[in-house]
Amino acid sequence: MKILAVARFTLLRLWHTRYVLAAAVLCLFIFGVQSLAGRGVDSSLTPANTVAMYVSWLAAIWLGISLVQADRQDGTLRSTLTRPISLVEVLLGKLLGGLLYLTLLAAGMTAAVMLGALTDHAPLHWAAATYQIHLLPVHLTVMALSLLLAQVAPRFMAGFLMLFARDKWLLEKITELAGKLTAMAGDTLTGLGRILFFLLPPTSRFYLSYSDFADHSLPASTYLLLLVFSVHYAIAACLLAAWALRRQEL
Amino acid sequence: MSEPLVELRGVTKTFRARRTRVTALHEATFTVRRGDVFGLLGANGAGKTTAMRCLLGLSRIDGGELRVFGRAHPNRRELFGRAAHLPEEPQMFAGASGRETLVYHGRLCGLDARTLTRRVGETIEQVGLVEAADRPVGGYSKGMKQRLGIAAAILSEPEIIFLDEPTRGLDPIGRRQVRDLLAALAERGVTLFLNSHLLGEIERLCNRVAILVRGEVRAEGSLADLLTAKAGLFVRFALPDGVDPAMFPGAEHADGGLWKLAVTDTAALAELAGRIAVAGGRVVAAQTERVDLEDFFLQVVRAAEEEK
Ligand SMILES: Nc1ncnc2c1ncn2[C@@H]1O[C@H](COP(=O)(O)OP(=O)(O)OP(=O)(O)O)[C@@H](O)[C@H]1O
Ligand SMILES: [Mg+2]
Repeated sequence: MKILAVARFTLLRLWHTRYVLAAAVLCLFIFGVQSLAGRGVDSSLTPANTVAMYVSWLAAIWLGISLVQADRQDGTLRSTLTRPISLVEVLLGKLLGGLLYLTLLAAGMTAAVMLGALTDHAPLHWAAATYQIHLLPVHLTVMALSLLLAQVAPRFMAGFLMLFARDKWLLEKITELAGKLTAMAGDTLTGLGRILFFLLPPTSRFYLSYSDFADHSLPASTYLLLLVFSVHYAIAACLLAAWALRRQEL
Repeated sequence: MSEPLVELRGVTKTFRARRTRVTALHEATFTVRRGDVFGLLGANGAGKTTAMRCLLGLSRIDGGELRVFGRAHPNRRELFGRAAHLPEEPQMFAGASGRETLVYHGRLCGLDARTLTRRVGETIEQVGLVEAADRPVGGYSKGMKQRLGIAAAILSEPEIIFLDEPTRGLDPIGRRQVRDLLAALAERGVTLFLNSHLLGEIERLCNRVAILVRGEVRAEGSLADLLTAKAGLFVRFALPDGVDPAMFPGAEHADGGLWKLAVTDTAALAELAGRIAVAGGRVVAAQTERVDLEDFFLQVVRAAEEEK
């Protein structure tokens, strides 16, 4: 329950620092994208949804690197820790708060896409209603990993690293590199890449593009697995971040 | 005697920064028992804040032994479930209102919704923040922030409250309010641990004190004992030449070639007067002399300086 208290205060902080307003502006922007870019295109929901995906991905990184830092800067973390709550719980609460915010953003952007499509008489697809929401577990992993990195590296560096911490992209690069090597070295590297793929947090594996998502919907079992995966990664990231934070003067 | 809640045994803490070393605490030893109103006194930089932070596990110690609630390493959950802390400079998120901040802290302490609403209302009133409660903390004056910090510290009705300079930044009315508030808490049996260099306040509030001089505890005990050890009924008397003053153990030189000796009560005074008469001397004056905490503090600090 104390995790909930931290999550609520995190939302309060986001409200008072105009993050909620910013989310509203972003939704308006998505509405604009849908109204303009959706016109006359074949799969008319794709552009807006793609932009929305990137927006929420960047928001997840930004929240991950700034939520705890903000608490550290103004002393909230210090005073929170003089209460019967553990550091891990505080970090989990922060993530939960961030996730609630991202949920709000996703819901808003979904509504914006649908409204944009309605005003434009573009054909609606059922996937438009769920696409943003289905990304949330992945956002959670991204946010958790950013939070962890921000505790061990300067913020801008953590953010920069996160832009490349995309497992799908990394695997592609590795495969590309393997192709240039001798057969044996290439095979080893590909093998290593596969192992890495399963060890890395699923930060982009499940970032399906909207058209993929609309064409072959994600099976419920896969989605469930993803959900369990992300929650575990989030908890692991919080444990590690707490371990890193404990060795610093807060 | 009631059970000890806080014990320091030979605690040492050294800060290292830019190749310099500052010994903030040197073999500090003192005890705070349940029901005490304990004042840790010391000049600026004496190590009061450091001692408090070490006790709360917010700063690591380099040597010695610390016990809080009878345990060397109480876990944070237990420690902060039973104790509360008013830090030296209460810091809070500037965007939230005072009430929102208190609600957050109450939830962290696990107060249920009903108790939370009641306690938040009560404490806001007790620290005199009723009018400002719903304004953002960022716009609070220094004294208002301090009041909010005190409200947060008393919110969960802890067994022991650690207050680092509770009246810092407060106006005279605020000081009085806080003093009355703390006295009321002490009356109810809450143990208080205060850091301060405002001796008048400590003297009015505390029953036990320890004096820190450059990280060392130079005096510890009940305020009454410490002050009466230095004060009491003093007899000044003259002795004829050739009488050995060692006949009067503890006698000190006083002005005008007289001797000065403290006695505990009037019976002892009569007995002493008899002995002086037998030795051929005469009593010049007998009067009570009071030492206040300020005198005592200065004596202790001076004695420590002279030793260096
Ligand atoms: N984080 C730190 N790094 C380096 N030195 C420190 C640190 N904290 C405290 N010190 C040093 O330790 C000594 C004791 O400091 P402390 O803050 O405990 O004093 P204090 O008794 O609380 O003083 P004040 O009355 O001014 O609050 C000082 O010499 C101070 O410079
Ligand atoms: Mg201090």
